[in-house]
Amino acid sequence: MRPALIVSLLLLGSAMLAGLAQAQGQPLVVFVADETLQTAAPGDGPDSLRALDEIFRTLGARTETTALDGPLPAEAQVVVLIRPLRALSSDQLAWLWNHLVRGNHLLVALDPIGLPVAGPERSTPANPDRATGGLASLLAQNYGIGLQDSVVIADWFAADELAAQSTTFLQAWPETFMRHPIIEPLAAHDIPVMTWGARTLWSEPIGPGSVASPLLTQDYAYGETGRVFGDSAEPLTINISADVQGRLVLGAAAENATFGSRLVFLGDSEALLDGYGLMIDPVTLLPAHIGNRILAERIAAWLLEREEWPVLAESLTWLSVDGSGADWADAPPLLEDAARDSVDPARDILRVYAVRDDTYLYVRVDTTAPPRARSELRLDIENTFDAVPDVTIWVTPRGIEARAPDGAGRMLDAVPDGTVAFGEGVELRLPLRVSSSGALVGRVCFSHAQTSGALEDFDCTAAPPAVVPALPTLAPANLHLAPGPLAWLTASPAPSVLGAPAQEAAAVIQPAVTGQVFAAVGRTGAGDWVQVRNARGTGWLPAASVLLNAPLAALPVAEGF
Amino acid sequence: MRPRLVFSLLCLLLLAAIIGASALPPARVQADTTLQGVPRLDGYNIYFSEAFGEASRFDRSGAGVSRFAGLLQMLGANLYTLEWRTGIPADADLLVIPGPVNDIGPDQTAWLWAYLQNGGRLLLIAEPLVQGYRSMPFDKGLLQLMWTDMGLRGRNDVVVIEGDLRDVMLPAEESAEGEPTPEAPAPVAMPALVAAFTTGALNSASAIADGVSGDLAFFVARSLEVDETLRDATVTTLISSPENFYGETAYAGYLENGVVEYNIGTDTTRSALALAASFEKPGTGTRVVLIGDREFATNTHGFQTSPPYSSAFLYPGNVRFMLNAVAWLLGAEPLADELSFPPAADTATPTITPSPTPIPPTATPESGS
Repeated sequence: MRPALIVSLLLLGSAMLAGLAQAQGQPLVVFVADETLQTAAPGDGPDSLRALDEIFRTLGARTETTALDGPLPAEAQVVVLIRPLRALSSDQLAWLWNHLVRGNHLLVALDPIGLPVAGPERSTPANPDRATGGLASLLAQNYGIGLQDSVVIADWFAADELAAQSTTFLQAWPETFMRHPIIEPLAAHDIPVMTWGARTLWSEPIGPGSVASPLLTQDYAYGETGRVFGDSAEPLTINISADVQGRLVLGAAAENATFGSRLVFLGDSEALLDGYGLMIDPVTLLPAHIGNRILAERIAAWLLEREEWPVLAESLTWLSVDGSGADWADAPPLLEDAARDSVDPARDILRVYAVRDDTYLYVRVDTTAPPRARSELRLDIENTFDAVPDVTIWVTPRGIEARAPDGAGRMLDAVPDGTVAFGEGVELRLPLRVSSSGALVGRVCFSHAQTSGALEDFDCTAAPPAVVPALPTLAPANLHLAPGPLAWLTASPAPSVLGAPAQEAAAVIQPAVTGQVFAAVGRTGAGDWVQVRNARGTGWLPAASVLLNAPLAALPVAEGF
Repeated sequence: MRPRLVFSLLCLLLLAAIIGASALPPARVQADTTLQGVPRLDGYNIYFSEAFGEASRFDRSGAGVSRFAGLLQMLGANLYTLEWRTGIPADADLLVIPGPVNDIGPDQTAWLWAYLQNGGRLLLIAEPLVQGYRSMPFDKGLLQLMWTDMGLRGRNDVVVIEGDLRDVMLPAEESAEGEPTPEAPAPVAMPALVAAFTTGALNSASAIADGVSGDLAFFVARSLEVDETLRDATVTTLISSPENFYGETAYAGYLENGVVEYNIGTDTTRSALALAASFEKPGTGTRVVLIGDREFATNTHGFQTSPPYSSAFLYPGNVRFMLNAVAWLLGAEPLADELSFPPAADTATPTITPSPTPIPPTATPESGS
């Protein structure tokens, strides 16, 4: 009896000791929740950081909040400073700086000056640190990431839409020229990150004791440096000599080798807030913005110095369009073609693979020799099992086009969100909007348009159309359309996207997800419906169910509506 | 006996688990690997002068040399700012003076000269005397001393070549008192001067040229005068301009009024003009590298990248030359492998020749009359 009791007690004590040791081994992440700074912090409501807090804890960290009214906990490895609406005071900056020079890390997100904040408890506009302020100066000098006093403005923005940050949303894209490991999957799979009322940054690649790299960029907007919020807002016109132009940097990561410290600096805080970038659809419990979710997870992992990155969700399709078949599963080819039946080995089709998920048709064509870039390829797609192609996809040096499968090849639609890559073979990603369900892939040809307009085929498959297997996964992003106004579906539960502007119309895209973003391409004359589009289709949503980042009246009235 | 054994084993296992968990090293990922293969400069102390308006190693703007300094630091060098009032520290392995705007004073020149005479190492960038730069004339102070003892100095000129012709209004003659105002002269066709250029004329016999690929870019440079006949020292031209360039001594006047005149005897003769040179005196261990253009190493000129936030250098030759120069000055092992920076994207063009140097707008015949 006694030995058993002793063993039990010892086991209990050992377990407690092990738990304590484990807690001490867990890195501590401190969220700044400061009333004077009015920072965002873990809690409830759209302006909170509950999801980010959970991400850190899932990665093995302990988290706690602290008001920045004294030195930060000595054991804090990461400090999270999101959306301070006021500039840090000198003492607050000193406490934060002491944290960094000891080799610890910082995640900071600052919004534009003057940005109206929606939270009821925050009635005054944001007035965080300026580009010349103490925080920005220290980070610029020691990490090579600088802040700019600007607001990211797209061509279609209007002053009225800037009245709230909820209508200043834009897609940002992962930087592809310098791929920081944080954004590697986003860059590889072309996944955007949503921002709301962003501010531009600059980053210097190499400097005294530091290396910095951009994470998020924006190519089709500019950084307005004039006053765009408030009563004395200036017109939204680009000022060549003052405004920030070119590829805008909206987020960057840096390391200071002297301190051994890491910094992630975002020019937008909503990208990480529960009611914005990390929004979860309450019905499906799916993240509304996969890109934001992955970005947040990988920022957290990098700041926690995790040796392994978080696993990407298995429910999503991870096929990157890079010309390599490395990420295709060992599925049998859909179509096979005889080798050396073309005079040009670079246009000699050997095998055609195809799969589809909920949004895209993915096609891979293997050739005897690596295909030349800008080769012309045709692909017949059938959906009705009547042995008659429904659409022919043409890949030309001009881009991807959907054409009628008749001899004339009448143009049906440009496919700006189609993607093609030439590498070891050819890889295609085609939106189901143009290929419908993409159920069967028929003839595939390498062709060449002669000056007379006639097509000369180098090699075509001869096998009959084959059924494309459907993946059980979802596309990680479904909006890769050209720049233009966007509609943010905010209604919950999310309505379906309908085929016509009428409640009784059939659904085109179902289910939609609350928080999902579409291209806004038109409206009804009455303005009660908005025509939206993504890779899955084009349809209608009630105007009351979406927020637009452009004036509703600026959208064209759809023909016949 | 058995409970004791179980207890001992459990304690042992728990202890091992706790020790194991607490002994995990932090996973600090080391910085960029872009300089892999380049010899380390660990332990070397490099002092930068900032007292005379030099390009600052802390300045991350286009005018600064923070990228150059950052690369040195990535290679392991210890960087310091020189406090001239206390002289040059004994632990200084190299002194860098990157393009002073103001002239180096007599006392600082004295410190510097003593340092060099006793085996000091100096990387000196001497900007032409135009556009507000008044430092280091060829016949005074440090350059005069260098010429006398080292056979090396910068001339008071700007290395140029004539570009496209353009109409220039010559300065109007002043009328004598009581005489009628003379008519405004007709515009004269004169060439624009090209002072920003690239050159491939690199002395491949020098260790500093090892691995330098591509042309080297200059952005308003002064030519160097090199006396290679010294008996106890070696003076070597490292980089030269293309053959047909000359040294314009009235470049400031050209910027003011656009007038160009090649003056034989005054301007530096048209030839392959030295733009960078080295001096080495084995007896004392002294080594000097002199470069005639401050922008050769600044962030948005010689060290420009495309995209600007990337490490894809537009002029990798400039970057490699500067790192080689430092390695040679420090006596580090010659650089063996290529740097692994990505190639520049096509968002900017590295071709800067020929590109006319901007001159002030001249009055048109209509507005001038």
